[in-house]
Amino acid sequence: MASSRYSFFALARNALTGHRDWQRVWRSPDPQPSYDAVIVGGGGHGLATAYYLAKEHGLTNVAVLEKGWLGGGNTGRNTTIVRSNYLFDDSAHLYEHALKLWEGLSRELNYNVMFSQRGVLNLCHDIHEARDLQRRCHANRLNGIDSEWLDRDGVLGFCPVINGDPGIRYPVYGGTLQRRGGTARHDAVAWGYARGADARGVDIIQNCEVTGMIVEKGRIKGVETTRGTIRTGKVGVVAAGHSSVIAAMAGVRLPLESHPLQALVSEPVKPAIDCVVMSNAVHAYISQSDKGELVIGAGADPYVSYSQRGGFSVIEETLASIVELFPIFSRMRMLRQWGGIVDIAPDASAIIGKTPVEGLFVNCGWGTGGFKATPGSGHVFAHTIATGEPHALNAGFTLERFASGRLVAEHGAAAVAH
Amino acid sequence: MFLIDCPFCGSRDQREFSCGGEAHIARPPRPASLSDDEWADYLFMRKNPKGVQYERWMHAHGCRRWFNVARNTATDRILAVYRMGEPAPALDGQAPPTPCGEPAVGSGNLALGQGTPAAAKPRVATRPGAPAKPKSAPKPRTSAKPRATARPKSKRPAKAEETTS
Repeated sequence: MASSRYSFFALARNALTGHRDWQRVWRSPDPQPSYDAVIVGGGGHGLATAYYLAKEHGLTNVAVLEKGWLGGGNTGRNTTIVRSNYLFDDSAHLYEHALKLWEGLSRELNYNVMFSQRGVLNLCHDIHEARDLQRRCHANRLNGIDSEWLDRDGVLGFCPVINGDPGIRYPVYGGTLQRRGGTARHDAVAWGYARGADARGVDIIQNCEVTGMIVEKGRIKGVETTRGTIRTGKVGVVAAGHSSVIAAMAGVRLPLESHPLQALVSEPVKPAIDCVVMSNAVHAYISQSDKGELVIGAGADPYVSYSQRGGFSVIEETLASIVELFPIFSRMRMLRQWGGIVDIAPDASAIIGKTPVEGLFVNCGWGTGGFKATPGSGHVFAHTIATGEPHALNAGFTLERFASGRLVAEHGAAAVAH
Repeated sequence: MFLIDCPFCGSRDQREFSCGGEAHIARPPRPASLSDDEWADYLFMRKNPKGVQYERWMHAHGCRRWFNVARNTATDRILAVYRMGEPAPALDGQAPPTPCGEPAVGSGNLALGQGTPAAAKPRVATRPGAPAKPKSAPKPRTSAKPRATARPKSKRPAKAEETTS
């Protein structure tokens, strides 16, 4: 069951046999009739939840149900940016918790997630935005998160390919830099967590879609799937854009709207940009993958859709912004484009916690920025499922906050427009 | 990306419009008597369906007038356009399928091509006069009976995207 440990020696040994003897990274078990807990959704967050359930809470009789393949949803459809420079305390602590886990993740999982702390640069283009960014910079530092203010020369010194021409429509005024931020290999995150969870006995069941919830007297009793009924007393829904669909099966209403969020990559070129650059006002973000592709993203499409494709107008606006900020890329050709379905909450913050149905937990609402939180999200959600109560770090992200009014209003404050 | 048939200007690109979200959310008649939970439901909770959504659009770069649209959020296909104040048209038949012709739920592991083109055609009958049935959230399932779906139970082995690297 346990995968063999990856090491230089394992690589050398397998090289001698032509790499034909590598073990499968995880099993493909048939679903059991019952489990202690079932995680709906085999993306990064769901797999991380299962991993920490097994590792931190000793809960190994767990199934992860995935309707397609692992990491085939938004985990494989994002721009892989990792940072923790959020304004409000609740968000800052949660994302910083995640960032700290990222920093040791490859070693912990014995799987290279290619986490690269290349620095995340947030640009501003006028004095008002500069004040906002400086405020966030100070708030970050008060929360123990590294953040520094760079003036225009500092920005151009850190990332010379940015257009420093004062004559453009939105000239660069300055920016904040989080040096510990960066990027990670998105697929490897899902695979690494899947391998770790599987090695601890978690059943990862792909091609198994949940089609119904069994609720008796306000308590969850199991799930109906395309591969039969599974009885369980605890269900964690980590279904991103489809969270509303799954929750509705149990009669739970969520304050979410699902929108397509597009990203695109260019043809691979030699290293040109060695950090992540984001701009709110011009509205685009960009980094370069280790393969050499420029990875570009921007805003979500403005209507509810589950179609996993968005409008060309959004791509056009995104690329116009990129070309304004980086004239050097004006002749780049785009290779691929994709849309993920993101579940956006009214306050642009995640919902991690209990629902009115006992035993049914949700981890959703990550909207346009969930990838960076993957380890932290899984860690606190595992605690929530195992103990039935939220972890101190997700106590502010309950579903009840929409009734109490204690929102975590990260719209616009989260250093990126949504 | 799709075309929207503005009832006042005709068919235009979606980017000319701004979306106002879910339609037919009535303001509570007596706001002062609402509990916190009822307020939360009115302000924040949304149906967010994968299937037919009744929603409001405004022709921002045209006549700047509001109207309602019934759209399948799985395919972005527009099923009906009707004016503000009119009741939602009752759309008969099964929920329109996803782009590949699959049902909205339970299609994750259909074999390729199982969604036939015939099934892909949304069976829609618009009855403008008919009052809209209030679409309540699906009732919680209280029995362990398997859901009656048309597809056979998949027995094919899980062909997982396993990696050996």
